[in-house]
Parts: sequence; C-alpha cells; structure tokens
Amino acid sequence: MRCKNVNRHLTAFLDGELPSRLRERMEAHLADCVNCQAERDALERVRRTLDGMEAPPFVTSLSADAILERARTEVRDPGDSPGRAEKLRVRPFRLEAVGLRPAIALAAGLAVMVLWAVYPLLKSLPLPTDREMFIAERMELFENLELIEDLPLVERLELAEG
Amino acid sequence: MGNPEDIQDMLAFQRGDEQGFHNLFQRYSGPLVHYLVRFTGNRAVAEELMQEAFLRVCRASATYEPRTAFRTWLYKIATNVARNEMRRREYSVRKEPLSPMHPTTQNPAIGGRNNPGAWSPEGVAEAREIETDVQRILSRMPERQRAALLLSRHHGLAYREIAQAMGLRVGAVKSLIHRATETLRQHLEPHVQNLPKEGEQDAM
Repeated sequence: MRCKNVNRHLTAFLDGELPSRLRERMEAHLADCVNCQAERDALERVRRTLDGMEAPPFVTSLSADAILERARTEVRDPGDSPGRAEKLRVRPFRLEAVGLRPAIALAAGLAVMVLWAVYPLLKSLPLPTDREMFIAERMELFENLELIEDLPLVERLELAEG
Repeated sequence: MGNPEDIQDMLAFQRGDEQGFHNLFQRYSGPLVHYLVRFTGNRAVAEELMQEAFLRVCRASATYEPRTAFRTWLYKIATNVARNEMRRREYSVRKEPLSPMHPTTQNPAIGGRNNPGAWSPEGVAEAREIETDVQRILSRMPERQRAALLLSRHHGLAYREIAQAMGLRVGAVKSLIHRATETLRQHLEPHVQNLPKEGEQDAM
C-alpha cells in the first residue's frame, strides 16, 4: 500500500469504519512507515481534542410540555421557519392523536364547502358596494383556514345572510 | 444500532402517549443543543433550533418508522433545520466563544478528564483558547463536513447512520470526515502537539 492511499483512509481507520481486509493492510503499512505513523498520531490528537470539548451546561426554559403545547396549537405545515408557526394559532386540537395530514385534509375540505356555500350569497348581493363590504367584513374567513374549522360560525353566517 | 428504548418511546408517542415524548426530549435535548451549538456557533440559536427540531418530531411523528434509529432520524431533522436556518440567516463567521462555558466544572480541558494538567490554570486557559479556535475552524468549514464530523465525533453515529441522516453515500461521509479532520489538524497543529500522545479515553 502506498502512503497516499493509507492517508486517505486514516480517519476511517481510526473510527473503526474500514472493512477488515483494508484494515489489515493499513496495519501492516503503519507498522513500518514512520511518516504514516506520525500522520495517524496527529489525526488522533485532533480527534482527542474534539472529544475533550464537552457539552456546555444545558439549561433551557422551554420544556417538552411547551413543545407539545406548541405542536397542538399550530396548524402550519412543517416547512415553516421557527417562530412563524407561533403566530398562527387555532383552537387547540389533539394533534398527536389525529396526525397533521388528516387535519390539513379536513381544513381543505371545509374550505371548499364554505366557498361553495358562500358563493351564491356573494352573487345574490345586489350592489357592488355591499358585496365588497361582505367580503371585507369576512376577510378573515377567506384568509385563515383555521376559522373555517369553526363550523358554527359558518352556520351563523348562512343564517344571518340567507 | 437503534436504541430499543428510543423506539419504544417513539411508538408510544405515536399512540398518543406523551410520556414517550418526554423521555426522548430528556434523552436528546442536551446532546442536540451541543450539536447545534457546534454547528451554528451560537448558543441561543442552537436552543431555538433544538426546539424547532423537537417540534418537527411532534409534527412528523406519524411518519416515523422503527427501522430507522430514532437518533438518526432526529439528527437528520436537526441537521436540516440547522442548514435551512444558516441559509436563511446567511450566517456570518463567529469569532467569539459561543457561550459562557465553565471550564472548571463542565469543560475540564481539551484532552478530556483524564488529562491531569488540564486542571491547572494554564491548562484551562489553553483549553479555552483551543476550543475557540476549533469553533472558528468549524464555522468556516463547508456545512456537510462540519455536520458529518460532529455527528461522528460528538454523537457517536456510525458512518452508515450519518449517511442516512445526511442523504449521502457512506463513501462520501468517509471523505467528508477525513477532510474535516485534516483541516482541523492543519490549523490546530501548534496546539495539539503539546497534548499527551497516549490516551485511553475514547469518544462519547
């Protein structure tokens, strides 16, 4: 084995990650080659340096409970960046029992139902201004899926308007 | 490779038993912050990202399958969270020590607990200096090298697990870790020459 090849495998050698055949050839080379021994020892010292850097004391005000609570109260998808999810809250529901996907599917289904229910109302309003007012007053309904989860609200709307 | 307790806890959590989540949080929140502190170079960011990672564990709990070690899955999530966050913030290189560490109690010295010289004032001062250097070098390293090295050295993940966590082949992981170690070596050589050659302590 050449030194260059030995060098390439040295870290994996020290990590015990080489297949036995290769490891044996490395060992044979290292037994004779002073340069490669020096290289191995240098890498070993770096590794021990890293190992000596222990974890900083870990104290956090946030507990597992707080995370569970956050998971329960959010409705956003997992692509969210930290922080943003906190702002979008809905009625708490048992996320861990239901799973997020069914919840999203339910919300989407409800959204379709509500739009279907509201559309004739929009059309039936006589004046453009009234119609704009109707949308403006209920903007949240169109923007926030979480409101749609509140079915009684939709029913009340329908009663009021229809 | 997977810790059976982890899998039990995760399956319990999938069934709605929050105690499972509590156990996992207790077991991994510390190591995860450690990983993320080294990854981001910032203690506050690391804690935030740890929370985010566990939040994603909650959200994605239904997708967890026991044939993946929980720890591999968790580090995969955490690595993704950290890399996204770094990209989002376009993180600059940190030059300061990350957090108030306590060398006398928590961080005896570079070289580990078995190094008696580490407890002398000089030892502690030097340990701090090296630690700062290491962090600076880590911060400048390509992300994937950094992640692979940290997962290997500080968290005891096998190359195969790291490959799984990072979506790479084992050969790529091997080369990333080697390059990262070589880079550290080049920068640390003047320091580490003074460290004891023989050492029986091993990785975490």
